[in-house]
Amino acid sequence: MLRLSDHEKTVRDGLPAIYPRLWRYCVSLAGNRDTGGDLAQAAMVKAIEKADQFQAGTHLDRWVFRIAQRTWLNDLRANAVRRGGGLVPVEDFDLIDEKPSTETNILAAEVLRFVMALPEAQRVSVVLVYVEGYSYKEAAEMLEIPIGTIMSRLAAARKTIAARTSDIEGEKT
Amino acid sequence: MTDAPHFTDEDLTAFLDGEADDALVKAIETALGSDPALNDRLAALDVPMGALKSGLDAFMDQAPAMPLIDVPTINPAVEPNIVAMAPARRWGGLAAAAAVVFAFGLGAFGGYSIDKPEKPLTWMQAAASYQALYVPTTLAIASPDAASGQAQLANVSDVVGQDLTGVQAIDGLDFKRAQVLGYNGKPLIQIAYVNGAGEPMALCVIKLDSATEEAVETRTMNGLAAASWKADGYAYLLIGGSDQAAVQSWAEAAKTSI
Repeated sequence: MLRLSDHEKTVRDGLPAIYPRLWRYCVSLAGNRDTGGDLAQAAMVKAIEKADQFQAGTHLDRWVFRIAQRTWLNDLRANAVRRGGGLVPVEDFDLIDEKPSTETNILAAEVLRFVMALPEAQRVSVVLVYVEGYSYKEAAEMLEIPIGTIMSRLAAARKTIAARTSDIEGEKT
Repeated sequence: MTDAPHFTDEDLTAFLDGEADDALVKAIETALGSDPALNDRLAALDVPMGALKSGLDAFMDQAPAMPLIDVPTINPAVEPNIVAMAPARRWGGLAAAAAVVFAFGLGAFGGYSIDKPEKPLTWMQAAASYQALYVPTTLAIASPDAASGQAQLANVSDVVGQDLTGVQAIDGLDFKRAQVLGYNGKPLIQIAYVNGAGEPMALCVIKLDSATEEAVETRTMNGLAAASWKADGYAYLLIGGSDQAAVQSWAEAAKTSI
């Protein structure tokens, strides 16, 4: 009988747990839901196809995120930008549940809008470090860029968000 | 500039993020005690990232259902439209074929019971569900030259026991890859193409237990145009894109060249 390789079983078994995060990461890479959903699917198919390259005992999420990042840069990004898919992030986004209008949610929704309006490189760095909680080093490895670049992106993102949220900040104090 | 010019925004960001080394932390903390402008700069950078995380965590709840099922083995409870098909590893001969399984509710073997009496997927429904996962990028990298394409087709022909080498050149379809998937313990050949519109297409082939003959018949499966036929003890499915007429004519062309 045909059998799954151990590697493939590990990858396939691990994917459901990380799928919501992978989807969120892909949407943040692509800047909209449709392209992000396509990217998440493509990344999963590639992860299963490349399962033999996954090293057991390492972090599946980081490995799959890296596949998504490469897939985005190598395959999907050019098409998405050509279609305008990567260029209309904010309008496409219905990110937050409207119902619980707590102060936190309103603030989160506002900040989120600003983040999605950030340039792609800053946006992805912000998501990996501030949302996913990866260290600078881990994020740099996933994006295959120097740590210094991560720092620059995060600093630039903070400045941009700060400038745009000055009224929100004003309300806070 | 009256603030501490030797602290860059990157320094301050690293400080806020707990990524600054001890020396930098100490230097910034010391300067903050006597430098109002530095305090202002730091406050300006201190945007509410916690709120951002909450917002994006809530967003994750909106993730659609994962399109691939997580049950890789024999005889799982199969939900409609969900496929547990594993793509083969990059083609490497029989070893790759043997490494692949396609799990599916129809089989009577295996230790898993079916929880719900769902109507099992046919092999074509399973193949269609799998094909629906393909996006143009899935095949973007595969571009075999004629010789390696022939080698791939020769290999899958050996596995399934039918000469499929003639389907490399179908007018209007750009051959991308031939690989072995598994279905219910049997080899299921997937030959991938891209059509003129850039849409992923696949010709799927499986050996039948009986020598039924059926002419080319078109249908829509998982939102994709499809054409199926049976000949010489094999069942074929060509699927992809939305142009039903084109799929039918490619199917006829494939049937002729096998």
